[in-house]
Amino acid sequence: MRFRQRLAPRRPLSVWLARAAGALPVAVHLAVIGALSCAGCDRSPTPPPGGAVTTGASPLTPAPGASQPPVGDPVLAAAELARGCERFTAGDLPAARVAFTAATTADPACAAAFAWLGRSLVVSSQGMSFSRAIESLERARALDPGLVEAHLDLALARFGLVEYEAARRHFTAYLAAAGADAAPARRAAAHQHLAILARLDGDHATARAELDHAAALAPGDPDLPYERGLTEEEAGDTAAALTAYATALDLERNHLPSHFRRARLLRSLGRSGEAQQAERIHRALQSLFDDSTGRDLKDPRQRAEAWGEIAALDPLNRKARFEQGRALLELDRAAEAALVLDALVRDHPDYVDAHVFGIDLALRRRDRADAVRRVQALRVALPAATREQLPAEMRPLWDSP
Amino acid sequence: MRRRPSRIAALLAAVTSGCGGEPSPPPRPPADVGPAGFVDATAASGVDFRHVNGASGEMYFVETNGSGCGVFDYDNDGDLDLCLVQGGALPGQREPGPFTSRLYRNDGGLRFTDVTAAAGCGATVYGTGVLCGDHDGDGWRDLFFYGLGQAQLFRNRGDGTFADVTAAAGLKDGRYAGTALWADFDRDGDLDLFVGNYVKWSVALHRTCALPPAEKSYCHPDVFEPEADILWRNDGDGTFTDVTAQAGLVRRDGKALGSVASDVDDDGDLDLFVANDSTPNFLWRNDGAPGELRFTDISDAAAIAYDRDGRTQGCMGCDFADIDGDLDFDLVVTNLAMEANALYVNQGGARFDDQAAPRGVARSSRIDFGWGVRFLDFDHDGDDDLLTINGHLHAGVRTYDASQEWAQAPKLLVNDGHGRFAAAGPEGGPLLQQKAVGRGLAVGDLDGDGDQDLLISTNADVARVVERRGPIAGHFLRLTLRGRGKNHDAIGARVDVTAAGRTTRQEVRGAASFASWQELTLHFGLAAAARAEEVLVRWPEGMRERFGPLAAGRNHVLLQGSGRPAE
Repeated sequence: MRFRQRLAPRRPLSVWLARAAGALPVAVHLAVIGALSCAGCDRSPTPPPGGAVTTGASPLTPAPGASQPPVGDPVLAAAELARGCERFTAGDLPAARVAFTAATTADPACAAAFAWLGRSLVVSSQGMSFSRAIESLERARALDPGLVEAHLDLALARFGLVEYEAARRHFTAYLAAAGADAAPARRAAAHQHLAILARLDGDHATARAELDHAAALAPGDPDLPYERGLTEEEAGDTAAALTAYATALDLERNHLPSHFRRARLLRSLGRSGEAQQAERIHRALQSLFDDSTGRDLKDPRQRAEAWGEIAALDPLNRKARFEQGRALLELDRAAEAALVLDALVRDHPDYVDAHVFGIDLALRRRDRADAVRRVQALRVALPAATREQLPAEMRPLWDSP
Repeated sequence: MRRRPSRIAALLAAVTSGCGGEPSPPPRPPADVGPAGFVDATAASGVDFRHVNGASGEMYFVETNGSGCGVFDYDNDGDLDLCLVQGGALPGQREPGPFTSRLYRNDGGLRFTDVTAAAGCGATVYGTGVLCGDHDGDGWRDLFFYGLGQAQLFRNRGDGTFADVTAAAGLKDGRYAGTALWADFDRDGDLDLFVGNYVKWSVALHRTCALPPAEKSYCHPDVFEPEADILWRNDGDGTFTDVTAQAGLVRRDGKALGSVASDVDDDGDLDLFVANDSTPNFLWRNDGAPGELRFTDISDAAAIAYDRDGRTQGCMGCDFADIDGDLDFDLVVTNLAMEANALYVNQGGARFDDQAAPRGVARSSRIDFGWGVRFLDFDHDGDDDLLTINGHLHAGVRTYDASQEWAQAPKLLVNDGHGRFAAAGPEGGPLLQQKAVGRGLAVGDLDGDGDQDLLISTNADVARVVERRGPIAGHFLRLTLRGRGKNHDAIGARVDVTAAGRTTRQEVRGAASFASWQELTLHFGLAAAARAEEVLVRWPEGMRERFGPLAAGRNHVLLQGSGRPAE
C-alpha cells in the first residue's frame, strides 16, 4: 500500500509540502475503500455490526448522546456525496474532497459525508491532513456511532500522527467490530499496522503473526512481504528478509522499497553485482516515483530514459517496457515506441495492456489495417479476451471481419 | 573596547596549561536557583538580533531557509563569541534596511556586546549560514558567510577587525548556497572549502504556488532546478581554486542544505556527507592520497542517499556521532514534518541503515519540522543525546494543518546508552516548551562553566542565547586541540577518550547542524569517572598521540607533539 499510493494521480509539482503525505509510515491504498456507503445521507444511525461497538472505554464507544445538528438539505448532500465518491474512485482526491465538503455543508447531519471527507484526507496525496481527517471522522462517529469503517480511517490518521496507543486501540477495535464481511484489504491494513506497532515494540513474533493475518487477507499486496522483510531484518534473519523482499518483488516488480532493502542486504552479503543492479533499478524508480513530489509527472524524456534503464536491467519487467514505449510515443518517437511495443507483445503475448497500446499506436498513425491486425493478434493470443477489455473507441475494431 | 590578547599570548596560555588542564570552572549556581536544564537567557545577554527574511506576502522561496549562527573565539581571549547570520530585503518588503549579519563579543557572565560595526564584518549577503574557521592559518578565526548571492569571506586581522577578502581569495560564486564547511580533505595542513548549493533561484525566477486552502504558499523545491556543489582547494596563500570536477564531485542532482565531514570509513581521511532536500543525499568517500583531492560517490552503496524505505526526504541539518559506542560515526539528518528525522547507523565499512524507527527517533520527531541538530551529552552519562531545533516554513501553516505550527519547540532525545532515544522530561529545561521558528543551532560552553550552552537562530524571529543550568550528575572532560600547522584548531582530528574502561570517540568538527558553526573544543561526558585514563588523538594529517591520565571537570589543551607517540 505504501508504494502503490504513489501511483495515484498527483497534484502539480508546485504544491509545497505535498511530499509529506507520501511519507506515511504506511499509507492507505485507494483500493482500500471498504464498505462505507455512498448511497446517501440517511439520518438513521447504522446499527453496530454484531453489537461490538457499543460499550466500555473503547475509543469506539459512541459519544454520549449522538449530536443532533440542524436539518440541512439531504438531497443536495446526497448528490454531492455521490459525486465525491465517483471522484474518489477515479482517484481525483482534490475534487472528491470538494464534493464531500459540500455534502457536509449541505447537510451537517450526514455522517457518511463526514466519514468520506475524513477518508479522503487520510488517503490524500496532498498536504498534511491527518488532523483535519480526525476532526471529520470524529464528527462522523458522533453522528453515527455504528460507522465501523470510519474507525479504521481514524486509526490510520492517529497512526499518521504517531499517536500509536490510540491507533492501536482503534485498529484492534475495528477488527473486532468489522467481522468477516468487511473488505479484506481493510482488515489487512489493520493487521499490517498492528504488525508495525508490534515491531516498534520489538515484538517480532506478534509482528509476524499480524503480517500472516494480513497476507491471508490480501495475498497480492507487496507491502505485506515488504513489512515482513523489515521485521526479519530487525530480528536479524537476513535470509528470511531477502526471501520476503523477493516475494514482494514477485508481486510487484517495481516495488521501490523492496529493491532498496534488497540492495542493502546483498551489499552486506558481499553480492556486489546483484546489489548494484538492485541499486540501479531503485534509483531509476526513485527518479520516477518520488514519494512526495509527484515526479511521476516528469517529462517523457526522463521517463523514457528511466523506464528504459529498468527494462534493460530487468527484461522480464513488462511494465517498464510498456512505460518506456508510452514515453517514447509522447516524445513523437512512434517508430521506436512501436519497436518496444512489438517486442513486448512478442515476449508477453498475454499482456492485454500492450496489445491495447499497440492498437492505439496504429490508430494514431491512421493505420487502420495495422490496428485491425493487432486486434486479431490479441484475439489469437488471448482467446478469452472480450471486446469490453478494449477502450470504447477501439471496440468497433473488435467487430471488424 | 577590551584589550585583546595577541596570538602569541594565546599560544603561551595554551602551552602553560599544557595537558594539565585549565583552572576549574567557576562554581555553578545552587541547584535551587531557578529552573534547571536548558534555560533561555537571551533577555539579559545583550543579544538583540532579529532575523529578517524579507517576507512581504509574495512567498519568495528564499525566505524560508535562513539563517544559521556560529559560536567561536574571534578575539582569542578564551571565550566564545557569537555570530548571527542575517537574511535581507526582498522586493515588496517594507522594513527599512540595510540588514547585516552580526558579531557579538563575549564579555563574560553570559553577556555579549554587538561589535559588528567596529569589527567591520557586517556581511550583506542574504545569508543561509556561516563558517568561523581560520582559513589562512594565522591563528585568528575568519568568517565566511554564504547564502543567496556572492558569498563573503572576512579575514580576521587579529586586531578586532576583519577585512573582506572575497575577491582576493578568488571565491567568485554567486549561486544559492545552502551549506558549507571547512575541512582539510587533502591533508596538506590547510582547510579546504566545500560549498553545497541548493537550487537555481533568484527573484527573477520566482514562481507563485498554492496549497489550498492557503491561496499562496512557498513552492516545492522540485519547482526549481538543482544547483551543483563546489569544492575550493586552499592554495595556502589566501587564495582558492575550484577543483570540483577534478576531485570527482560531479553529481549535479542534489539540492544541498546540510553537510558534514567525518571519517566514516575509518581510513584516516575526511569523507563528505551532503544532505539534499527532496533529492538523494550524497556520501563522497575520500580516496585521495595526501596532497590529493579525489572522491568517489558511494551514496547508494552506503545506503545513505535515502530513508529506510528508499525514499528521498526534505533533508536539512545533519551531524555525526558515535551513538552506540562501537567507535564509528552514525548520522542524524533532520527532515520535514511528517517525514521524521533519519538516523543512519554505521554498520561498518561505510554501510549505513536508517534506524530512526526502531531507535525511537522517528516517533519523537515525526511531527517536528527539523532544522538545526547536534549530538551532545546533555547528562554527562557518557553517551550522546540528540537536540533538534524545529520550526515550520509557513507562517500560515495552521490554515491547512492543525497538527503544525510555525513556531515549534526544540526537542531533546536522551540516549539510553545503547543508541535508543526517548524524549527528555522536565530535566531538559523550560526551553523545550518554548516555541520559536527555529533554524540554526550552535553548541558551546558560552559561560565557561563546564557545560554546553546553546545559540539558536531563527527565521523572522529573535535569536536565543540558552544557558545550561543546574547540577549534572556525571563528570565531564573538555579537550581543546592545538595543531602544529595552519590548521591550528585541528579540524578533522579524532579523539578517543577512555574512562573507567570505556572508550568514546569524537571528531573536531566546526560545521555541523544546519548552517551553523560549533565550538571546536570537544566535550565528553564521563559519567562517574573522575578522570580519563587515556586520550588518544589522531591529528588531521594522521599522526597519533596519547595523553593522560587527565582529570575530569576541566578543559585540557592538547598540543600536537606534546603527547606520547602512538602507533
